[in-house]
Amino acid sequence: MACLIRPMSEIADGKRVIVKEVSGGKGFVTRMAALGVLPGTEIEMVRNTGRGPIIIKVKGSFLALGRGEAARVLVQEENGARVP
Amino acid sequence: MQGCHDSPEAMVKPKAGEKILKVALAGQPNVGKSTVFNILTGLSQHVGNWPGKTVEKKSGYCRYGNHLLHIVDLPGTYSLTANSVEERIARDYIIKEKPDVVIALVDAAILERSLYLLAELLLLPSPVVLGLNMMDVAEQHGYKIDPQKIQAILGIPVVPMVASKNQGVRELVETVIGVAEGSIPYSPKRPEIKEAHRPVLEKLQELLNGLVPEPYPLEWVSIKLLEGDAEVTELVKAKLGSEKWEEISALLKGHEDAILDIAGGRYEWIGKLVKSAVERPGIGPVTLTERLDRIATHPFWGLITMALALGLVFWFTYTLGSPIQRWLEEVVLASVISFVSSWLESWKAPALIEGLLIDGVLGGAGTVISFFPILAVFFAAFGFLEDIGYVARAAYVMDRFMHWLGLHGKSFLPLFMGFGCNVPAVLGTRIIEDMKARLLTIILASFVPCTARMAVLAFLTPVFFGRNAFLVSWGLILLNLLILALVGKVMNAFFFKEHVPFIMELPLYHLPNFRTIGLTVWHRTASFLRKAGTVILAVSVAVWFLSYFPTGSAENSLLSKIGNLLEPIGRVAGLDSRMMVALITSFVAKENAVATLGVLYGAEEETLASVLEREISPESGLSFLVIVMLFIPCVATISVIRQETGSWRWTLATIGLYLFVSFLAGVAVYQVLSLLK
Repeated sequence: MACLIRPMSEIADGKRVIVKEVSGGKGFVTRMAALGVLPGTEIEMVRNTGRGPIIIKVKGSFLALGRGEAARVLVQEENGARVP
Repeated sequence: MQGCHDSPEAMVKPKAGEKILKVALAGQPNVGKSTVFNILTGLSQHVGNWPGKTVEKKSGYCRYGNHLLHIVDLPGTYSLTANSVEERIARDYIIKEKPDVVIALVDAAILERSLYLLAELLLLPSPVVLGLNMMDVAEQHGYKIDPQKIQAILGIPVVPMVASKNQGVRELVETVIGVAEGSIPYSPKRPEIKEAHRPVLEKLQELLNGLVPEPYPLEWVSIKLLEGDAEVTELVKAKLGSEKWEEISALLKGHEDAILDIAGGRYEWIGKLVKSAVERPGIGPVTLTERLDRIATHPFWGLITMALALGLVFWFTYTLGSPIQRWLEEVVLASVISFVSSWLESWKAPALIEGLLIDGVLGGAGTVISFFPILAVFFAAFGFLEDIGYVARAAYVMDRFMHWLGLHGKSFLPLFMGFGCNVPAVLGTRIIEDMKARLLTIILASFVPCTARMAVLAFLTPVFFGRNAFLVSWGLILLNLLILALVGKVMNAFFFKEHVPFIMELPLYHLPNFRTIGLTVWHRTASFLRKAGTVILAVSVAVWFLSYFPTGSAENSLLSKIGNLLEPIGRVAGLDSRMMVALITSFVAKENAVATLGVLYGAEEETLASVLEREISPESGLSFLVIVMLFIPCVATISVIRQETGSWRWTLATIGLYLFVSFLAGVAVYQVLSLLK
């Protein structure tokens, strides 16, 4: 099940994942892209406590995202990324 | 740095033969932009608002050799879309004002992310100089960056910098001048849209050729249309007319996924650059930021850290600021008052003048100004936490709790600032992008008890409650916060139902820069002093007039007539007419509540404390304190609420809300206590 695509809000601490899709309005998509979160980018989950906001590391910077926002970013775990 | 002279804006005029250059400073948030701006402009900074917007505009001058650089600090933004006011301001300035040079400042430690803005800036007509800031931090993280190579690949001048140590700033200025003069070559290689959408972009440019309104660049407009930029879409639509627009619109509809290819193209361009100009460690070492954040953002230890950090801010403020405040009030202000009154006596000034100067001006506005040291210390401590990068962590930790109020973590910061003074708290809500969340934060901010109200508590609670004063004070502060939460919850349920997105960068921790902190403290306290010198002064004098006319004694004045009129309302809450008057004057400045009680209870032979203790019952006293703590925000706060909301309706609604809530709480406290008696 490693190549399963899941919302980022379900990823555990320390996992590295690849962004597959950012869903939402144009405003949200462009804003996330400017912060480095767009399809194809590698992301590391820094803190996900199961509730409340999460922290990710992307392109060297740390980003806090609300749970709702995190749920709109679909990601794939890295070892699964090579499987088509 | 040498060569840049500090001089107020009004005095800066180009000398004979001096050339003026218009320079814009752009960069993402947290890249050290204000540090660079402060070094460049020193005290010549002028802080105001962008026309018609509640976004701060900073500009200043820098003299170097034969050049006078007029530098405008653009708002810190991650990109140049139309998503936020700041982004629109930044791009409009570059497109319409056509600065001679744009400085793009990036954080070398977060090179990939912070170059994104450069990718957007290069599409605009002004030449760009790249400032690679925080080279030292990048090195600590194990990056080896080759500025020469970046320069060669980008075709634009690159200046490595460590602004916090004043390194590279002079070179930056020299490069800016060189580019403006044409002595430094400039031939930028811009990012391109990904292959898949290149034909569409070309088609679009063909269709729009000659139709794009001045001064917008054709390529930029085409790309923004593909990005679905609302502002540019409107602009083109209005210019083209419906028939031609149909054609464009149809083309765009088929390519809504172009956004990602544009952004992706920019990151590809950045990726190539970074790959050849930066050597990176395989798996980066665990950085200082990561180590500190294991504690600072931990669900439990994070809260403890925050409580400690904020506790320290208070401790610092009150152990350092309060004695200075008392000294200002009891020694400086008192001796100014005695000096002025003896001077007035010496030329037998009429009582009216004496009253106006002593009680109106010095007693009113003077007392407010004596709070300046408390504020300055509070802002310095808070500014320190801000500068080292901690404050964003506090916002993160508090996000869970703020959600309950329909707000998110960012609202916590201005609310916390409210403990110092509500004026900067209201101004501080500017960091919240969402207008509704911002409005709600502005409305709630004055429930946070400021230092002036704490001073009232500190004086009155021992009078009414003796040994229990400390407990009662704590209870009253908690009551304020509880009511803040409750009102927030209710307003959120009825008026502000929308979900507010929470997206916030946690900057890397770094050593504090005391120059930056100092200037922040100066700007924040200066805006407080300006208010004290204008609005507060005017209202203090007005209230003094009401307390003086028509007979010259407070007991028979217009003000006490107003008090008598209000007494029936006050009675329900256990307040007599004098307490009602004290409340009204607390509208000018909260600490006036005590001063007015002093005047009206005629405490001359005995101390005010013993008079009040005898004349006011504990239940009336508590009710009074509850109401003072929750009463209408002071006049300075009201004026910034009006300024920031841009609406009298919301301002009046806020006044109504506080009036209602404070009396409701006061009546409840008084009636319950009277029943229990």
